[in-house]
Amino acid sequence: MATHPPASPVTSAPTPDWRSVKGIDAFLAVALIAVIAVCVRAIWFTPVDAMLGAAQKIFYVHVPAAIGGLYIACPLLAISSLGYLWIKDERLDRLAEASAEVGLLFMGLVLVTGPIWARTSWGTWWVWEARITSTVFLWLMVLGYLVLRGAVETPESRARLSAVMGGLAVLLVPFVHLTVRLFRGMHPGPVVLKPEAPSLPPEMLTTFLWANLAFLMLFFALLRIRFRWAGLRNAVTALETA
Amino acid sequence: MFLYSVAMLQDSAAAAGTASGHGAPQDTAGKVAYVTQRSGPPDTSSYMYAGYVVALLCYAGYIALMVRRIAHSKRQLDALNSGGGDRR
Repeated sequence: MATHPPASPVTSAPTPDWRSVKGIDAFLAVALIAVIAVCVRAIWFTPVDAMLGAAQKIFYVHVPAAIGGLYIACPLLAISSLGYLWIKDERLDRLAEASAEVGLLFMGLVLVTGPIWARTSWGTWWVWEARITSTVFLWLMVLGYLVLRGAVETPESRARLSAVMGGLAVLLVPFVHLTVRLFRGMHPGPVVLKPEAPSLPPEMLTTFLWANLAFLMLFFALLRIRFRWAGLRNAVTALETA
Repeated sequence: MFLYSVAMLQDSAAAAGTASGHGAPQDTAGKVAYVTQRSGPPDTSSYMYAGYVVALLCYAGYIALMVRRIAHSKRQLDALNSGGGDRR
């Protein structure tokens, strides 16, 4: 990641103790334990789907990653980007950057685990259908956001331009969400969040809800660490340029 | 495949009866042929494990990257605070 000087803040914030930033803190440790516990429950203590077999259990990783990447990281990227454009707080720029990177990881996992599941249920690794293709476009736009951040030298310009791009990229999220309704494709529609009752047996639904909780904890733990590292990096850069 | 016709069953039953030396072929006339079919879901556990391993490796890789980034930045901060200069 580029180590450009930070955008100069308009609002002043108390300077944190950057020495206290840790790669693995207690929150991340708890999140990791939760994720491992959920994986064990999903693999060995959750019923196997009668039609798709064990590969259906990728669902417990694939969908929480999609929720974290598409429905939390992207709106967070947009809100913090627009917030930065409004009040020019450097922390919002850092939050947008962290959301984009962690969201890119989660969306990348959606795009990797999806084909593994598709190979068994659809008989092919990849289909250029609306949901998958639009998710790829969104992933590329977030990647472009991060590339743009690394390419612009001036801190204020970098923060402003990337905030505009971050705000615009997220406009694709509602489209990605609606593709299963707007287009005829192979990707299944929602099985839990729909007007009718969830079409999952109780055991599977319980595992799914626990998986969402665990992966959301992991998302916020990684986001927190990434956000704090950006502050540490900016502090180093500010000292270097002083 | 696991689909057989009644005629095939009769033939195979007759052949099995003769070959095993049990005498006359089975009389299957008027009976419903029952063939044991492979039941249950397909064995796709290798794909499941592949999905979980890939996911956990990606998360572990990202955590390792963050640990490395933070350690590097802390070393830089220490060097700058001590008046030295790891200015890479």
